[in-house]
Amino acid sequence: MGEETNSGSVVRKKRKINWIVVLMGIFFFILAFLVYTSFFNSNSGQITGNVVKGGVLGGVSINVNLDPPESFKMDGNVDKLDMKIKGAFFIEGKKYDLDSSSIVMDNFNGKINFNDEKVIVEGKTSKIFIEGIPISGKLKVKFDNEYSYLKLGNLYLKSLDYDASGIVRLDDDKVVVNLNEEKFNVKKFYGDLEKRGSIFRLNGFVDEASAGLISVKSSDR
Amino acid sequence: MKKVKKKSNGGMMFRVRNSRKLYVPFYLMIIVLIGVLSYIQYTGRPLNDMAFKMVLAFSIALIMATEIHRFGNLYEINDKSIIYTTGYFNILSKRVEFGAISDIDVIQGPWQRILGFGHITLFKFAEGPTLKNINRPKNFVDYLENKMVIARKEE
Repeated sequence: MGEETNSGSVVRKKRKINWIVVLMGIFFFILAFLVYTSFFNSNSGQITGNVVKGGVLGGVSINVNLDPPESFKMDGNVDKLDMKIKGAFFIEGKKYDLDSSSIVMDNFNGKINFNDEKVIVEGKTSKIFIEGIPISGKLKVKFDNEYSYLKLGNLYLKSLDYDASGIVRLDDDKVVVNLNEEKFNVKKFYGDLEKRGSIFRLNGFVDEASAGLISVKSSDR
Repeated sequence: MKKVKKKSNGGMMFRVRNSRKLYVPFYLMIIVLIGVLSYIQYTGRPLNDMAFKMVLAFSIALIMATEIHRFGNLYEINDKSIIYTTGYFNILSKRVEFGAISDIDVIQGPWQRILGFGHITLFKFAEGPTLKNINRPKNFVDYLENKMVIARKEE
């Protein structure tokens, strides 16, 4: 196959490359990669970036203990969401009317908004524990409650920027900044966020952080 | 209609390359990728650095490849002949005198009909060269025929 005789000599036929098929293959690969890393596994969003889940390849460690921002909004994946709330909430459209409850969710995907008093959570989760009692499956959840405690484990934040007071520790405590109503900014944060009363903590890794006049970039290290 | 250049001897030179409509599927690929990128940015979802670079590199490479491909073919009509030039480094240039053309065929597939481009085959009492992926081929043929009529009258 692919050979023919021409005047006694054997000539091998040139195989033509079908460029359209090759380009379509590359296109679908890139599209799938883009969609997968952004919609289905956002934790791998930084595989080749500076922040890597678990280990760090060039990311700057950050640990902050500040006063909370007036409001906070995010839309994405959180590996573990832990909160203590007051009042009723909805799971799969069913109302759970409890005075106060401890809620833990695994693999939450959706919107989380909170301010000093209220937390609004709307999205999907694969497992939810209500006062330690588990419910599994792809569950739609909706909360709009007062809360006393909130922890988001392993979340990715594109950026966070507000005037804050408190302590910012960067790069394994090599840089410690004490802020007093000064600019606090992080870009590409990956880690844990905790809010308890007037305490707001971030613990993880960032691509870029600035606190007051101090600025640290992972690319500069 | 197309690029018309004035020659130094006063005649008009009509130059055409492959229609960009030929590359519409490739442009659509770029639009889809940029659309998904924009949606990710708009919704504030995390964007993988490598995915972003891949989209950027693919889009730039595709646009460059289509433009380079276009430059591989050039069709020129002057007052007496049509010249078909192909190649990038090794150039093959074929001249067909108007007097030698006996017939002209326009060939359009469904996709080409929708987008308004097609192939033109020149017959020299037998099948001659085919000018591929010409934008608005019927207008091109009309122009060519007008030129041929003028050239034959002058003879």
